[in-house]
Amino acid sequence: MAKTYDYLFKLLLIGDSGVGKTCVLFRFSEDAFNTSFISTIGIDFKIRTIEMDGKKIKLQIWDTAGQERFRTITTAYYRGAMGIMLVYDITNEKSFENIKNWIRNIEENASADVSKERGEQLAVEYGIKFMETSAKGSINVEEAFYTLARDIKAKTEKKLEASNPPKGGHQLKPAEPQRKPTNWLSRCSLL
Amino acid sequence: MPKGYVVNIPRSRRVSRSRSNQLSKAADTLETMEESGEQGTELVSHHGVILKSSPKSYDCSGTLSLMLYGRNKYIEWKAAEVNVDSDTQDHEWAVVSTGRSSRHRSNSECARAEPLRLNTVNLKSFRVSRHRHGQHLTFAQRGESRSFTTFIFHQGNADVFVKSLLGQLKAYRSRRDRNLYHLEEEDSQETQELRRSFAELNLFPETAPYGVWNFIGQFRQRPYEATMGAFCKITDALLYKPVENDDNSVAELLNHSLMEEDTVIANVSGEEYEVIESKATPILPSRPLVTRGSPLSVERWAQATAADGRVTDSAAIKKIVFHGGVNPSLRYEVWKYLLGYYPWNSTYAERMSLRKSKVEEYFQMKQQWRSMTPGQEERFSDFRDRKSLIDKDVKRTDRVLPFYAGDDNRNVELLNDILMTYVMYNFDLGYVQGMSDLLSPLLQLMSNEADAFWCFVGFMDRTCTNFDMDQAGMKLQLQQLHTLLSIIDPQFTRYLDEHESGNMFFCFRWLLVLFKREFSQEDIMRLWEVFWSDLPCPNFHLLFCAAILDTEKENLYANNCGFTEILKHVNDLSLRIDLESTLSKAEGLYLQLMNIESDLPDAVRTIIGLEPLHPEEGDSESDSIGEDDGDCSNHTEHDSSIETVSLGALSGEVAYDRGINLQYM
Repeated sequence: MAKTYDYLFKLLLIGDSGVGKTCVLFRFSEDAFNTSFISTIGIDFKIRTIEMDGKKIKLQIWDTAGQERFRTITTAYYRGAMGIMLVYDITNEKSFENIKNWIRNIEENASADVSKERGEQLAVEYGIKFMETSAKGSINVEEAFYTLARDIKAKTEKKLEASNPPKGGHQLKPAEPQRKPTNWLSRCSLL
Repeated sequence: MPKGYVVNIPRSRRVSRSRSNQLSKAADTLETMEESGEQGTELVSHHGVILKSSPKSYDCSGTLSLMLYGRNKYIEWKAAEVNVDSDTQDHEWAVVSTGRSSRHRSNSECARAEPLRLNTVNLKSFRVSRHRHGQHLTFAQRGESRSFTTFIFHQGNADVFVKSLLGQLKAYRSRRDRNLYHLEEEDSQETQELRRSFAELNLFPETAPYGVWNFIGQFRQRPYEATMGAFCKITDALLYKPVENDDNSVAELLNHSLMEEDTVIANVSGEEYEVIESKATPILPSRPLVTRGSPLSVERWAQATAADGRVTDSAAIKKIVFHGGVNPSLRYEVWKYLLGYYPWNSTYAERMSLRKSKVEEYFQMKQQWRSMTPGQEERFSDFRDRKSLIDKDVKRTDRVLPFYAGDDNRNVELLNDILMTYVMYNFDLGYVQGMSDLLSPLLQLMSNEADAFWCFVGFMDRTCTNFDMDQAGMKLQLQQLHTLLSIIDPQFTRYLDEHESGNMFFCFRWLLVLFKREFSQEDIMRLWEVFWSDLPCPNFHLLFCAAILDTEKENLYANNCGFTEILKHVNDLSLRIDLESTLSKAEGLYLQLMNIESDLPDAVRTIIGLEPLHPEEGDSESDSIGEDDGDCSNHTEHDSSIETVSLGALSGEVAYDRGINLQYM
C-alpha cells in the first residue's frame, strides 16, 4: 500500500469545555463554521493532509471533551501526541486561568519521551507560541496549525539526521510539545 | 530514542563453530545459524536487547528480530557488532549501556557470536514480565523440552517489540494472564494432514459451525456419548464413501476450539480438576432468531388500567414495552411510570395530589437559583461553574431539531431552567456534560417543565454513575462490556485486545449518553423505553453494545482496523445503526447466554443479574468496583483544581502501546 504522506503528526486540542475546540478544528478540517455545534462526548479526531516544503504531512487532530471529569478517559489519548494546541476563550477569564492547569495535566500524562523535551521547554516559561484565532471569522486558524506542523517537522527532521533510525522495533519520537494557546475571539461565541 | 542506542548489525557474519559451544544452556535451545549465506527479510527488529543466560559471559547486548527465511519466520538474536579496531569502542559502549553498565560484559567477548534463531513454528507462547531492571520477554517452545529463552529489555520497552510481533505472528493474548501470548500453530504438513482427515471423515454433516459447536458442547457435558457418537461416524465414513467434503472450516473450527480448551487447562494446571471444568470458556449455542413485537397500544394500556386508575399488571406492560416499545401517543403517560415519577399502583386521585406537590416542589427549587443575587453568585464559585457549563451546553444541544432551533427559542430556555433546577435538586452531582443530551428528548416529548424535570430525575437515578467524578461507573461498564464480549465472541475480543482497544474506550460515547448521539430523536425514544423496562436483565444496554459490535466486526476485520480506525469507525456509525434489528440481536445474545446459564462464569452471571455460583471464591473483577449502588446523592464534586489522573490498570498498558503505534500510521 503506497503511503500517501511523508509524515504523520498527531496533534491534540485541549482546553476548557465550550471554548471552541471543535469549532477551530472544524474550520481547519472543513473550512466551515456552524453555530449549531454539539458538545464533544469522549473523543474524536479529524484528518487533514497539508503540504510543506514539498513534504506531505498528514495531521491527525484529536478533539477532546473539555470537562474535567472526563480527563480520565481523554488523557489516555494524550500519549504519542507531537503537538498540543491549548485553547481558551477570550471572553472567559477562567478558561484562560485554567490553561496552566491543562499544562500540568499534559505534563503528567504525555509519554515519557515527550516530557524530557518538555522539561527543557518549560524552563522558558512563556516560551510557547501564541496566536489569536477566530474559527468563525477564519482568522489565523490555518496559520496556527501550519506553525505547529512546521515546528514538529523541523524537530522531526533534525532528529532523523541525528539518529539515523533503525528499522522497526523502535520509533523515533519527534515529540515537541508546542503549547499554543490559540485565542477565541468574542464575536465567535455561539448564538 | 536514547542516543547511542543504535548499533550496527552484522548482516551475515561467519563465526567459528567453537564459539557457539560457549553458548549458554538457554541459547542451546535456539537454532544456531549454519554456514549459509541465506538472506532473510527483516520483519521486525529491536536493538539493545540482552540475551539472558546463566553464565554471565553471554550477557551482552544485541538485536532481536523477527526474520523471514524462505517461508518460515524466525526469532533471531544477533550480538551487537563492535568495531574492535575503533578507539571509540569504550565510549560508544558506555552510551549504549546507560545506567545499567554493570550488567554488560565486554563487547568483544560476545560480539562474534553467531546469530541465534528460533523457528516460530516451534514457539508455543511468549510472555512479558517486568523486573527491577526493565522487562523480560520469554519465549517458550513447543514439544517435550519445554525450553525457555529470555531476553532482557533494559529500556523496559518489550511491549513495543511484542506489539510488532503481534502484527506478524498469529498470536493471541491469554485470558488468564494478560502478559502471556499464545501462538497459533502454523500449518505444518502434519497439521494439514490432520485437518484433511477431519474434513474427509465428515464428522459434522450439519451446517458447519453449529455442528462443531454442538459436538464440543456435548463433548464437555457427556464425553462418553459424544466420543462414541463420533466414532460411529468414523465407522460410517470407512464403510460408506463420504457424501460431500465440507471445506476446511470445520476442521479449523475444531482445532481452534480444542486449542482454546488447551489454553484454559494449561493455565490452571495444578489446580483441582473441578476448577478446570468450571473455568473452561463456555461455548454459546446458536443465536435464536428474535422478532420484535408491536408497541404498547392505547387499548392494551386502557385494559391494564383499573377503574381507580391503578395499573394492574405492570409486569405484563413492561414485557410489551420491552418487545415493542410504546405507541408514541402514549409515551408521555407511560414514561412517567417507567421513570418512577408515578408509582404503578397509584390511583388517579393519588397521582393528582402527587403531581400537584411535585410541581410545587419544582418551582420552589427553581426559585432558589433564580433568586440568587449577583453578590451571592460572586461568592459561590461552585454554583457559577455549574451555571456556566449549562449555559454553554444548552446552546449546543439538538439545535438542528425544529423544537430547539432558532434564536431565542423558549425550549432552549426550558432546557436551561430544568438543568439549573436539577443543580439545586442535586448540587453535589451538579451538571456534567451529557446530561443535556439525556434531558432533550424528555422535554421535547412533554414540553411541560415540571413533568420533564421529574422524569429527568428518574432517568438520572438510573444513570448517574455515568457522571461520577472519578468515572468509576463508566469504567465499570466498559470493563463489564469486555467481560461479556469475551464470552459472546472470544475471537473478536482477542482482536480488540490485540488492537489496543481492549479498554473499550471507543464505546464511551454510546454508554455515557445511552446512544443518544447514535440515533434520531424518534429512535432514541424507542430505545430508551425498551431499556427502562428493565427487561430481560440488568445491563441489557451492554448486550445492545455487543449487538452493534457483532454487526460491525466484519468491517473491522476486513479493514484490519487498528486503535484509531476502530474509534473512527464506531464514531462514524452515528445515525447509521438499525434500531429494531439491533434490539433483536441483543435479545438473541441474551437468550444465547441464558441457554448455557449454568456454564457462565460468575463475572458474567452477575452482570446479567444472575446469582453467582461460587460466591465464596469471589470475583476480583466485579467485586472490586461493583460496590456502587447507584445512589446519586453520594457523589461529591471536589474543587476545580485538576486532579492527577491515573490511567489505572484498565488503560495503562494499552495506552502505552497506542502512543507508540500512532507514530507509524
